[in-house]
Amino acid sequence: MFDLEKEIAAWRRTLVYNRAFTSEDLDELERHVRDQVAALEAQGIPAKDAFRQTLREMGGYGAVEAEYRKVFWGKRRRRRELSHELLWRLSMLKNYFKIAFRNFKKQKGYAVINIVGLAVGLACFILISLFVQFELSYDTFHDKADRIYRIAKEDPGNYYLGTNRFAVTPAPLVKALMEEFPEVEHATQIDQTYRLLEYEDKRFYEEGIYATEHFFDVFTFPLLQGDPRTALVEPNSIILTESLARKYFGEANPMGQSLTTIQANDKVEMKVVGIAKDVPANSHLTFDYLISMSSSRGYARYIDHWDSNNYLTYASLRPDHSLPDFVAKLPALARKYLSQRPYFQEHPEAIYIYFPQALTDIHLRSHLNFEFGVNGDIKYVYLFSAIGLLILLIACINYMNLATARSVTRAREVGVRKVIGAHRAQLVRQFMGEAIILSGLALLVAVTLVQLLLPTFNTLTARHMVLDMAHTGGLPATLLLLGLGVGILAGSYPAFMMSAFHPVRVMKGVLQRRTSKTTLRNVLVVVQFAVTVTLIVGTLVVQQQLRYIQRANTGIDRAHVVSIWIQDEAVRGQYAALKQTLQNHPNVLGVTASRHDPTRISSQSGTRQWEGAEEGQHISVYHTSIHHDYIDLFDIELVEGRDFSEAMATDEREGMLINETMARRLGWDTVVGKWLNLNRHEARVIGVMKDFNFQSFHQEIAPLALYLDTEWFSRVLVKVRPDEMRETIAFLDKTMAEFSPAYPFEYHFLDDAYNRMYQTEARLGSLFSYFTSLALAIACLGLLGLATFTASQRTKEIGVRKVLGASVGSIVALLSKDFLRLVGLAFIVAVPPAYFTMQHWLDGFAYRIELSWGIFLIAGLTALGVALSTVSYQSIKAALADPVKSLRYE
Amino acid sequence: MISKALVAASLKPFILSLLARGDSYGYEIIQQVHDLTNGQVRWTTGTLYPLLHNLENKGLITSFQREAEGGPGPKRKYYRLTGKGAKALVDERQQWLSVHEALMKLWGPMPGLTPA
Repeated sequence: MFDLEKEIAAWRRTLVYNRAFTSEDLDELERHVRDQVAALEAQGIPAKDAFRQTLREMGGYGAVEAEYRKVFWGKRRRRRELSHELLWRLSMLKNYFKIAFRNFKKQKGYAVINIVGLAVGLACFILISLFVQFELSYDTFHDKADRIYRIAKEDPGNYYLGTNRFAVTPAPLVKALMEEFPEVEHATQIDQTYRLLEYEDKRFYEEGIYATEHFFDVFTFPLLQGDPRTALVEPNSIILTESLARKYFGEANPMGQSLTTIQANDKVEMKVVGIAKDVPANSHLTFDYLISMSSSRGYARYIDHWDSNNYLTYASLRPDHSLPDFVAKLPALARKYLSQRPYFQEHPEAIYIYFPQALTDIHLRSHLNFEFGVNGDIKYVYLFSAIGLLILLIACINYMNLATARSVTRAREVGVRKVIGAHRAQLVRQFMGEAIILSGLALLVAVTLVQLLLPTFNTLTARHMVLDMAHTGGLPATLLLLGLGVGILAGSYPAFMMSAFHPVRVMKGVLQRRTSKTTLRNVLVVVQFAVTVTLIVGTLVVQQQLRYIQRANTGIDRAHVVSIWIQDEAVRGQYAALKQTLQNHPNVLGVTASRHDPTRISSQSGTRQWEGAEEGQHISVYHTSIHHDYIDLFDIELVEGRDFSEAMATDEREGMLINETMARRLGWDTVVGKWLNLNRHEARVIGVMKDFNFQSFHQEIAPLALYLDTEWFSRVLVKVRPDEMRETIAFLDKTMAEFSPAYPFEYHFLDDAYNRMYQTEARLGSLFSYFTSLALAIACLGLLGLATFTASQRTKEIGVRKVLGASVGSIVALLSKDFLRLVGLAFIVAVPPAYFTMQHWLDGFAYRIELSWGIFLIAGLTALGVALSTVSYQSIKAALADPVKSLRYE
Repeated sequence: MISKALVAASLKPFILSLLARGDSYGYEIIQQVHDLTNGQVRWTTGTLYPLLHNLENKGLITSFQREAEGGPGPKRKYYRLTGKGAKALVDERQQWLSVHEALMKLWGPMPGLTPA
């Protein structure tokens, strides 16, 4: 039965969502329809026909809309109808969301792959950004950060550990800077110290610094209690950080209390004059306490000595300073005070050159001798930034690949939307919106991941980073922008591609795979895997170099040697008894003592006096003092001469062992018995040691001299059995407590100390391997999605092939071949950049592995293997599928 | 039937003239024009209503709602000529008449042109 009311309502519904009509227009049109139908009915025409005729006479849908549209865009009307427009947009948005979630639901696998891939990529990117931001934030918290400089010195000709630049400067420099340079606002000097602090029954070694009185005028380290202007003036004043104060004094107020500092049998009472806030993690200066420099007897002694370089000097310049002028004036300072010295009169070219370093550059760009601590490196900041971006790129490429590959399934939707009247811009917005929704979801997962991983990441990088949404201004906004950016980046290409579909063609089911599309997809896969292969090569090289360092025969046997730090003068007098006691223990294999660990001999002196030295010849020699049994304990090979002997009284101070490098440099043909004056002391060579690495692998083996000094040592070196280590250490602890009751037992294993020299590299290695695995995982995730899709697209083809007798193997090969070819291509693309980057990194080592084809081969095969197993899982599944099922619906 | 171009050109003067004789609404306007021209001019809704809205936008006519007599459905939208619309009608009329006069002169008694 024809129901006019229902028909009118239905007709009206078709127009409701059209923006060209306002509700008022629709009222008018409806009235018109009703009037005309009534008129026609009055002429005896049945309602059904009257309604049809009326609609027919209204003109085509498109024509009406077009006419209305023209008027609609008139300004007045538009303003009046904003709410209608908004309603329309909202309803479209609702539809987009609905379609997007239907698609996610229908294809959960793809949605999960997309979200997981993007989330992991985003998480890596956020972690690395935090790291980079943290590295760049070093020392920026000082109020005067942009005008504080450290004054360092260049010592022409004095190459030490690979550079002639030193962070340390002489004591009088502070006064000279303040008095002679108008642009210097304040200057201060500091000295590092590591000493025992004692309060009642609490006694620990603590790290702190000595600082001159203007320390707080230059730096911003807020004091919670005490007056920063006067705190560092009086001798024997100490400022504790909050944590240290709590450690020693608990909840009691430490102000005015006294603490005892103990260093080398020297006990000093220090008065607590201030409590400082804990030093921020991003400060290159770190300390738990500050002692007034006036407490240092050494400083008083050196206050006028321009040739004693022991202190780090910092100055804040006036806001209107000119850095070039300051730099230009500094060399004159050294000339003024040093040129009178006899040595510099002879060698004016060797006079030091003082130069300023911006405070904020120290952490990342300064690698001088005697830095305050281990600095970061701008190279690694760049490297990790690149890795972060690349991983994000890989994740975005995943999305693009999957989205374009799957576009076939969305083609009909595009067709229908276009036919109904969707404009291309609307479709672009729709698909872009989907990408943004996905990346928003991924961002949520990523932020959760970051929160979970941050503690581990902090341990790995030895930094202290936080992701504090509530308290970091702009962080939520930045993250949202990141999500939006990634959504747009990943979504734009698929959106433009998909919105370009021709409706008629796709509705007919003709979606010819244009080669350009698959080519771009292939390029993207190649890029992904090229990046991955590069990262794998990097990981392998770093790890191999580290293994090489750990396993390399450095020429000495450092395994299972405990190095005990001796501060107590009393122990030095009892060395013979200590050695005897230690040796009596069955687990102790040998005992000796030295000034340094043999893995890090850092004292260096220069000399011009040796047998046969010619005028103008000069040699710099690293040296240390040792005790008997040293050569045996470390199994150092002697190529000539003999070891020190207890039977030869003249060996003490007058004998000397040198290494091959030194013998070669001195140009002697016979070495044993020749004399050399080192450190104002003449000694004769009694033996030549085969070269061994006594410093890190970054340094080449340099000339080394060992002499016997049984009166002084700072380390007792004990070789122990590898088993029952716990008992042995307990025994050492007990023995040292007997011989040196006033000091805690401080020891380390030489192996650990050796490995610590390569901490930066070790960290790099582990970070590299984690990020590489993630990159590989993301890339494979994409590949998995792509493979699944290809297999599903070719279901029928596979079915037909199987029916015609194709084997499972041949089908797997058919499906996998294309992907593997891409991975192969990626490998070729990746080799040159990987080769040059890693070659450059290895150049930083004096002793290093060579880049072999093996490494590249392993990297390539790894990528290939992982890709193959990813793809083959899908291929095999597709190949094993029953052709009856896949062909049933044909 | 009258050609499309002429129908389009006559839309505005028709509407203004009809409204000058009293308020009216879309369907009635179409019917009146239809009757006046003996069915020679038929406007579709798609053409008429947007034009009415357009004239309203220009301020030549205004609209108001009035309850429709009998039957369900929305109110009826009436249009009324404004002062500005009346002036525009004078102008339109002037134009039509001058075109008309010119054509009449040309179509006066003349051999060969008068219908047989």
